[in-house]
Amino acid sequence: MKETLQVLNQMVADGVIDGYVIGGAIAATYYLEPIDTDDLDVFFHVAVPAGGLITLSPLYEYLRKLGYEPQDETIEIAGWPVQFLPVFNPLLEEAYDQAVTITFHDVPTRIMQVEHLVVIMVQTGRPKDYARILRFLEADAVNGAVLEPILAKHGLSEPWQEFLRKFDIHLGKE
Amino acid sequence: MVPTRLPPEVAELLARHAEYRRRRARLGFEEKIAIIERRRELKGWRKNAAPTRMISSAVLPNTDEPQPSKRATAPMSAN
Repeated sequence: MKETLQVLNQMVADGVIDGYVIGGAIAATYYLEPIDTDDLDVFFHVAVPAGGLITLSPLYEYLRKLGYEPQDETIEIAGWPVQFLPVFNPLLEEAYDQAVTITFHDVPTRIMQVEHLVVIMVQTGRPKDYARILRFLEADAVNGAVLEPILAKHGLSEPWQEFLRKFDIHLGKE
Repeated sequence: MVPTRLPPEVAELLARHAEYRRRRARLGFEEKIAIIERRRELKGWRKNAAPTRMISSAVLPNTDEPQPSKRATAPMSAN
């Protein structure tokens, strides 16, 4: 993982991507117990060219020159299949902007805040997202006072209430 | 929906598992990633190899040479 992050940081330094933030299971692992996953989800920002069309070709080309080949929807970088996911909506934009900087074996990297991870899972709404939200709640890892304004801002308060009703969850007010 | 009352031994098992998960959550990030990487290796994932299960060429019949049987059949899966 260390080498993978070093390559990602080098991509930023070389201007291939404007920046990146880790999301998905690896970000969840930062806050919870280790979660098995096959890949590293990397949300990235690219500068939109004048034509407005974003192309991932330079990213793939850069990595191919380093010997990292695409495999299905991922590119394996130093032992970790990395899934590059563009920041494509206002919620991801906010999660990207408010990500926290951490270090992994002295390599700096950025990771989504726990409340944004939860709201993204509410938005995505797959069974595995709900299962993971339950783990966040069980671990008492989420601050409701931070979570609720984000849900409201992105129009996800109702799906959140529906999730709580469905699983018969009663959150205490702080 | 009528709440389900769990047998005490099951409730205790679940509580112990939750405590185990809470302890694991308190590990450092590096340690957690090392655990994930170890599990992946145990599942057969190797660095610079595809994360999906593959059939090694060593277990496939050499179809370049004449086969004693009418037709060489490759295993259907690597399980």
